[in-house]
Amino acid sequence: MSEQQNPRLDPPGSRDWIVAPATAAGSGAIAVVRLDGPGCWRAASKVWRVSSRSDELPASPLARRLTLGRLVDESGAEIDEAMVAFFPAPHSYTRNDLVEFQCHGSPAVVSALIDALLAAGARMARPGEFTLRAFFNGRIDLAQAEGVANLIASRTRKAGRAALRQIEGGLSEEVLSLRDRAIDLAAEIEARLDFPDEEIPPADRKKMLDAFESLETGIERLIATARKGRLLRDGARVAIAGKPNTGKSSLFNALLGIERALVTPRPGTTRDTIEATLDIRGIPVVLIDTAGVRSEGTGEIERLGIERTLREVEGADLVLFVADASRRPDDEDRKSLDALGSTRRIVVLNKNDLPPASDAAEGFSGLFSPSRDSSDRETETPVVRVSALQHATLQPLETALERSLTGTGEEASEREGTIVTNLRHEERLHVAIEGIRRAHDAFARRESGECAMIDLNEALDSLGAILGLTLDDAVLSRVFNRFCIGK
Amino acid sequence: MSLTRYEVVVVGGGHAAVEAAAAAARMGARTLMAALDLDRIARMSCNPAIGGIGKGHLVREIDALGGVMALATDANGLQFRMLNTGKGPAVRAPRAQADKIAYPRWMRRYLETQVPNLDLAQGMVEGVLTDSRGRACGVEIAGGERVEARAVVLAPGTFLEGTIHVGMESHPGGRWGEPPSVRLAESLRRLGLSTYLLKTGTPARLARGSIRWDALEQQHGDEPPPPFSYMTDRIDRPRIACALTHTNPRTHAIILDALDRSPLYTGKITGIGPRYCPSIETKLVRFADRDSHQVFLEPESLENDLVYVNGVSTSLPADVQDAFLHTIEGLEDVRIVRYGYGIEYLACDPRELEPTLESRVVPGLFLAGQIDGTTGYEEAAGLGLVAGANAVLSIGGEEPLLFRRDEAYLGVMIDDLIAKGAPEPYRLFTSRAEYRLLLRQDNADLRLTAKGREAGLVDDRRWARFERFRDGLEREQERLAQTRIRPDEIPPAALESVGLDPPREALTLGRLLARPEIRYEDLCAWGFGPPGREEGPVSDRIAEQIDIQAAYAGYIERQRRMVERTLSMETFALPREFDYGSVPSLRKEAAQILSERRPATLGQASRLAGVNPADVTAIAIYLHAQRRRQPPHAPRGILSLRTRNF
Repeated sequence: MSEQQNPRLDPPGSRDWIVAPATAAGSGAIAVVRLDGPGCWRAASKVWRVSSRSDELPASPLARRLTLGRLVDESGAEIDEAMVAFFPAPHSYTRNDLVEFQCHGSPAVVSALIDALLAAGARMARPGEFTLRAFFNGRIDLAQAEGVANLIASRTRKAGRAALRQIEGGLSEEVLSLRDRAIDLAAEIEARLDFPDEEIPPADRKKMLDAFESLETGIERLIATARKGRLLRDGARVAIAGKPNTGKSSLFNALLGIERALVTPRPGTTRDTIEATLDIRGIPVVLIDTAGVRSEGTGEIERLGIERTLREVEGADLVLFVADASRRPDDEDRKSLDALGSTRRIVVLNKNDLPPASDAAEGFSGLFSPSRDSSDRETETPVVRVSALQHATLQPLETALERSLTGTGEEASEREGTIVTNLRHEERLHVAIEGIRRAHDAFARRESGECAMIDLNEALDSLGAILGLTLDDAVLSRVFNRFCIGK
Repeated sequence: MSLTRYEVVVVGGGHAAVEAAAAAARMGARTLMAALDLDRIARMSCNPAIGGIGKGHLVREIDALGGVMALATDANGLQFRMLNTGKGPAVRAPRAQADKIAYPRWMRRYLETQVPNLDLAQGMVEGVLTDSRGRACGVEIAGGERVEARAVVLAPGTFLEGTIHVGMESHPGGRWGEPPSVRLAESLRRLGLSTYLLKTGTPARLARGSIRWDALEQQHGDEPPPPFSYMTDRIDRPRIACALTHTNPRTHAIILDALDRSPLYTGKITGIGPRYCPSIETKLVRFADRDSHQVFLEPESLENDLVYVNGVSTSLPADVQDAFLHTIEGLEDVRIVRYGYGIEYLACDPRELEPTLESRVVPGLFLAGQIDGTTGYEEAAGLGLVAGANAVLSIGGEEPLLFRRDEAYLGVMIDDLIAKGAPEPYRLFTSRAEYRLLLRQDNADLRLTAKGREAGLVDDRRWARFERFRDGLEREQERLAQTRIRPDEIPPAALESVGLDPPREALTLGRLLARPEIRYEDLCAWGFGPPGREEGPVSDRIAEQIDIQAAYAGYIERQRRMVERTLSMETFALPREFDYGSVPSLRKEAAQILSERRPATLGQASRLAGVNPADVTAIAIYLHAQRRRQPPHAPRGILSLRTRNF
């Protein structure tokens, strides 16, 4: 939801009454329908009656209080029993007058209620329009608005949590605190530029350099969460690959929990790729079953399938490389492994339920370990033994998947911490850290402060832009608070 | 006052009024300056000093536009320093002690003899006259005399309903011993201007002979003294030294004990004072951990015996001032000639001003100086010049004289004032400028003199001198860029002296100069100087410009690109008669502010308090959409778009 592509700015319309279901489509226990706009109670009062026995119009609704009543359509026919709450401006989510209806979660009831409200003069809200109004009315800042948009689009629990933290101000708080530290640094520099005749002791260089460094670390940490953020927003593409007949499709079906891919004992059964979206430990995953890669005995169709596999592998965030644990690895295994290129992978030794060939284990360790001598944990390839036919054996695979996709070892902190899920924020953070680094360099080179300030100001602007804040005289105020200026 | 019809009448006699009157008259307008006391023209009511970081930049800009302040300072200075010489050229600035007696005398003489078209009059202005359409058309002077004018510039300083505080005593006053302008304030309120209270203060004055100077650290100026004006080559006047001393815990105990008799801390003074110029009582309360503060002793004049005691501005009762001053080293036996005081005065909300400093409430009325919410002689002088010039331009219906934020500190100051107002007295700092590296004190004439010439502010003598410098600089820059030399042409010993290896291949002098180790003077010493170079102020300034531009080269380039990026906002004209209420998604509060303030450009809109980035986006998108639907028309930007070589 960047400023440039606001679709909802199309005039006229910001004073219209808008209506939309606030809960997801489909059946649930309760559905919430929201109506927003100046004076929208007038529309609400046309469809809502105080009690089931009375047709009396509610004269002055109790603000922010749930009241039971019944919903009626234009003709006066009853739609449903419902709770209604009226949030008069400016004490609502949008700072406009806003009405929330809680009715039974049947799609038929929801659509009848919406029809009645449309007949009463409202129009359907465009996607995100409530949030847009909240943002334009100054109810939430830009970061929060974007968080709401992500929340609306988020497909799984974990992504929802990241978006929720953004709304609650998690990102705003962290960026505010980083910006605050940058303002401190700027004040230290500016005080010595604008007030040479004051008794300001020379800057503590060591402290300043440390402050630059810790600021960089803080921003870097936020940027590092952006990869996870992207994953949570867009989902991860995970391709299952390997030579033919290692049980890739069985694994696909097992992870999915349904028989989706055709499975036969014949090698090369899967000719085309199959995709399915699923939730693995809260991460949205697009799982792709691919054709086995082999070099001989291939027909035209299978060859096309293999080409496609290679393309999928290239575009994947992660590859599950499947090998048959019951057989000794051969050249085909090696070739298909090579075909993966540099894509990150998990080696899945499938068919763990069958007795292993005498020297299979040795063969696999020869295949995977020698080239994996890196001490960097990020690039270490996990090896997991599973049996696609035994569901319980999939647990370690799911754990490995989660680890690989969200980064290793930081599970706990990252669950609690803020995750940057917005591309615009990520770009701003990159601009900010580059500014800080250049200012840091200029300071370290002992260049005069006005040079470092150009870059520091750029970083400050960029951090402020995430929150929709301008700098004004924040730096000067800090100077006056911290140093005794003035003769 | 024989003639009672003028084109411009300037009310006031301070630094703003002087520059306003001089500017209007220079441009050829028949001008009257009506001051309370012609012997106190351009008086330094507080410290006897001009310039400093930011303020010194302003004085150079005033000078580049043909103003008077720099010339007056050079002619009456007692001590001159260039500040921040240890830092980069952009934050260096001149500062001078000026003779408090000689300066006003010189200024009166200058206005009387050097400025054609200008009449001076003594009298108390009691009201602004308006015509049937509500436009300012003159002033009324005490005694009932009326002066007609086509534009009025008001610069009443602290006189507008001033109240002087010493301890719990207070009395009406514009300055110590001078009456305030009460009727004028009433007249402005009747006309509908929004007024509010501000506060400032000044310390005691001491008898020079009662100070133990030999016990104190002396502070001398630079030798030779660096002049303020681009027109001054050399300063030949007697110089004086200042002295430095400090408060101590005994001083602090006396002051803190007396806070119950401080008008500031008992709620008697309600006007907002400047945070950067706090009274000594405020410093002690806010920085309780400090057990000492600097005190500068600055002689006021060669012609009197007064010493300004800088650093202990106060409105405490006289007996407390007496007691605490005597605890300070060197002041043990000091005799106090006049006590310090605080003063509250009225300002008019600068958010009601156009960038020309014309009131939006009363057309034809221009406001300059402390009435705009500023503090400082230099800020006042700058505003005076802009107001005076625009008063004349408005009479002739000509293009106004405006400055962008990337062109001048004048532009930064005025834009800040009209966009954000001045809740506390506004002082200029270099950190208020986003394009600090472009707005240097060494290039104010390169930035502004041509613009001033166009407006009629710059006389022939200054213009000729400027052209000689500018053309010489351009020629020399061209020569440096074009002249290629072979490595073997550089004397090896010369390179060694600056610690450089010889370059591998032929290169231009400009590239050689890009090495931080090499300065322009080095090139000249190695025989690569311009043929027939003459020693002198012009060639010195050329050398200085070349070195500064080389030192900042990368940064200057980046700032220029920043200017270009924001230029689209700054030139995105907003229609004057625009109905902000019709912009969807624009918050009601923002629409109201924008309707009141009617910013000329989107850039100005973005700097208004109460208008947030989302509002600016909403307007931009709405206007973009509208323009797509309508046939394109030329933008009605009022800001000049010329780009300049800084």
